[in-house]
Amino acid sequence: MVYSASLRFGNPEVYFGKQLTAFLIGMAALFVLATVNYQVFSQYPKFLFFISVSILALVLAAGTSYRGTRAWFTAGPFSFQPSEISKLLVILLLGIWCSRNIKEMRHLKSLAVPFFIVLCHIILILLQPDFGSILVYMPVLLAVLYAAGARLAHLSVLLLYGLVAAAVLLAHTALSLSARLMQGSEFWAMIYHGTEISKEFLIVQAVLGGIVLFSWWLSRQLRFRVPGIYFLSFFLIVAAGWSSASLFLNSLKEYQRKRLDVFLMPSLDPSGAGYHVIQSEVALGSGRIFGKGLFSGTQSQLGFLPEQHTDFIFSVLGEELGFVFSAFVMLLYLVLLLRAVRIAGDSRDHFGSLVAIGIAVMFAFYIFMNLAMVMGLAPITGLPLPFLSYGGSAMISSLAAVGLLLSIHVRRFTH
Amino acid sequence: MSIGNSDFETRLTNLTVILACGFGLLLARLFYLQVVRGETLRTIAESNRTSLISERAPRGLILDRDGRVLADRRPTFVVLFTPLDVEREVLDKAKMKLSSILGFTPEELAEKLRPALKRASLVRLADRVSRPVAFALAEQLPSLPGITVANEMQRRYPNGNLACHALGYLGQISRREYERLRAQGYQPDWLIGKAGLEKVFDNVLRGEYGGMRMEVDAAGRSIKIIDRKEPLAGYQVRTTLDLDIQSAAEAGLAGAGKAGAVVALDPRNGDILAFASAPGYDPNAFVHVRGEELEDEESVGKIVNRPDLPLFNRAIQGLYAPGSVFKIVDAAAALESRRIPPEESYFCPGYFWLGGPGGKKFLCWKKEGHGRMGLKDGLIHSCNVYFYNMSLKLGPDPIESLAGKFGLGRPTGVGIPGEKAGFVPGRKMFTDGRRRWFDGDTLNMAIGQGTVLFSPMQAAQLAAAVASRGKIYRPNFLKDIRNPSGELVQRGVPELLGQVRMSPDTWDFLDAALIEVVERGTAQNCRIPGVRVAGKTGTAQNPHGDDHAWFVAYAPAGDPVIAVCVLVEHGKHGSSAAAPIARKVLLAALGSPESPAPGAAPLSAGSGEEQE
Repeated sequence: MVYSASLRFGNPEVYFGKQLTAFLIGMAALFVLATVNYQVFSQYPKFLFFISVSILALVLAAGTSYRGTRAWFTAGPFSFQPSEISKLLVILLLGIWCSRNIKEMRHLKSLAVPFFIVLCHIILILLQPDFGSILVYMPVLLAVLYAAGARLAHLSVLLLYGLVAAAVLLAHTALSLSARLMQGSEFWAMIYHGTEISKEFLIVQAVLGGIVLFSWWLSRQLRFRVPGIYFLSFFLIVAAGWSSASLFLNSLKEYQRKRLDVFLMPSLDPSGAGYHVIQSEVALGSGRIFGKGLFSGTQSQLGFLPEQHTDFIFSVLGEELGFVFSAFVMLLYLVLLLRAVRIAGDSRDHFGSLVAIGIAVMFAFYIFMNLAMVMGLAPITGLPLPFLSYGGSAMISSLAAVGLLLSIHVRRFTH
Repeated sequence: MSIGNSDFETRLTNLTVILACGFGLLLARLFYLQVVRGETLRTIAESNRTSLISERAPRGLILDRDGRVLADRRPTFVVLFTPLDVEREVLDKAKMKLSSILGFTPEELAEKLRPALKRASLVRLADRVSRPVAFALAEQLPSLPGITVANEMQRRYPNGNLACHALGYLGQISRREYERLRAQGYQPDWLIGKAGLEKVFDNVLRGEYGGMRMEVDAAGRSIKIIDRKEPLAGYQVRTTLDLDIQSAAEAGLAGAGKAGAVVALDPRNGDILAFASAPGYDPNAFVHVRGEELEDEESVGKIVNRPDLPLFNRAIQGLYAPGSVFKIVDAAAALESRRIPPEESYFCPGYFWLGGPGGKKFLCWKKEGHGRMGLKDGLIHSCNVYFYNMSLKLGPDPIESLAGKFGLGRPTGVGIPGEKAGFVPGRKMFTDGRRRWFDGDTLNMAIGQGTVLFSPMQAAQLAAAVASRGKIYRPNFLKDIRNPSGELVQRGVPELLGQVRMSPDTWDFLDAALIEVVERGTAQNCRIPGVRVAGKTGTAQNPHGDDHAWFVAYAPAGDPVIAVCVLVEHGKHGSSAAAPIARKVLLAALGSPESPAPGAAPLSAGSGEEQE
């Protein structure tokens, strides 16, 4: 598929060759990881954490920049993206910690360490900055905690925190683009300035606090027996989410802010994200049931598809091979995911099952976001499709993840 | 299920359900896109990758009656622009290159590109691009995203000015014309006939436009031609014009060096054999090929702004007092009235007192006078005084009525747009009571001055009618129309508009008198040995300068094959300025060898020894 998608670039062999090399390395990693007992990883959590954080720190110091993101190590013709490895390490770390504290997971304070682990990575990756890569951490964290037995109420605290932070970022970007709205209304101007660390920030927080206080008072007057602690924690979560977003915004450099704007509002992209989504839908749809034949997709071969060898590879597949084959590929993915969940269920220990859940959710998230994007159901996030998109590091880490799954599966009966 | 506890199992099941739901949603969407909307999206993908380039059909040929080419076509190039995802810098660079190669100013170019960039549709950047310019563009093509250079046949008039007023010219379709013609499939960027036969027969000449479907990539570069609807060349229109006669007419006018017009008709069917108006213009200027020098540096702008109005079609739009040409009508009216005996004569001292001596003085063109003149001599020598006297006796009404029967005062119906009606005065002019018809008006009318106005086409029709003994045919340009494979589509048919009924004696008299005009009267400059030419000169008084010279003629008398009218603006005398031109036209038509100077071989009138 990558070969077909990169025909247009004139040197498909290079793309294909690189991808094949990555595939072979990935297969090697798969075999090694499948052979090695996964339980060895659980012995050295601190070491794993150290490696993960240090390679991310190292890439910030010595990595190569591409399109304004410092996320790659380069050696000769090969480049490598450490965040792909960190992803797996984080899943392992979460698995270790949660399996060791499986009995304590019902308590809110047990969530602090997993949260901290993820936060460290998110911050390091944000510094690159690579906004697409951090997205996967949130669902993985939530899913592992959920599977480990965390209470839904506690998870929703995390979720709320994440949503507030994301919403504040979005609002900031959206408002900075609509100057007219801000000029016309004190309110929006206030919100806009409130998204950054400023005196308006304090005012907004105070008003929020006031509103929460008022609703608490109101609910008491209406004789709803809601403990005040809920209102307090709600306010604290919102405030925390808001402040971390604001802190983050303030620490951004100008070019990083621009990248964030483009990431959040793809329509800012001069070539037009709407154009890309439409072309992708057209490519998929025009494949109809049986496709136009391999290498004869007009949308892909004539360059109407953006990033066709990476993010939009599924559109190429759909166009050239049709519904029959693309639905088949989707079913393969579903089988993979269900197997991963099954492996989680069959694992002999909590560590194994939590790692399997983490991997399953990671794959699921990538697959779902990517497919939804090419079908015009989700915003353009630039998340690759595992196993199909061009990209060596992702291929290797995906295969390595499968290796881990196999290792967990193989040792399900060993006591 | 080593660690099986029911809570964990439930949570796993929940995750599985969420996964399955997500995939179900995606699969449904995939089905919707690829199966339900597949057809539509396939169409969009097709239109994405293809760009339609309309190809203009080669315009049909216009030929003379013997199949000689009056208008054909030649290959030129067009430059098309498809806007697509191009970076601004690249576009700006491309713009600079384009304007330097094509010779546009940046503003002109921006104006041309605007619709393309606005609607993301293909535009014709330049028509009629010469080969060197097209090659220069082709060399730069890699750095000119969206530019396509294609071949296209373009109208050419190989004879330059020849028959330009008959042929007309082409021009960009105007907004109004487009609104009117869009139902017939016209496109807003087409060239259509703006005047003359190009306009009259535009519908058959334009042919069927074809198109090319090109495969283009996202940057708008053409990858290959997918398929092509061959444009159907326009039908070929064979006109009634005769290249030889036309050339003779134009050469004659050019020799006179003055503005004027020549119309030659076939009196037997109304075929237009020559249709010339001077000064002319080169219709090629209207289809000027970019990057080629015009031969005489005549641009459309210059043609339009020239003070001598070359676009003005004097043959049908120019109105002139017919002068003595009108005396043909007077004489016929007099004979038909039976009140004027042809032998009744009046004395011409060179002038005429209306209302007795001391009244208003009307002059004859010959100051010293013609002496005593009858109807025939009056006509032969074009004696005004005879016609003053005669018309006073006859009155204006029979003259006006006969002129109407000859179709004067109405357009001849030649079909070329813009024809003027001319005017024949009469008592009907003054029905409102503010002024009445005076005898002076009768006198002016009798000698074809004052308000009498003919177009050269009308004068030619008059001559043709006299030649054919009263048959008024619609002047006709069309011989036949054939499709590109040569099959006959339509034939031009003579259309008899009317028949002037007069006694054979009257026709005989006119024939004989008009022959004598040439033999021994005012038109001896038109004598052709061995051919009986009948004609009548005229001089139209012109308050703005020298008089206009008229001459109408037909030949050979008795069995006429051509009737001709010559008008030379400011030619002073019909006999000196117009008759020699008519002679050239007649010679070209009759195929007689060029004879020595006129007057070398006198022939007595009615001698009957004509050897046709």
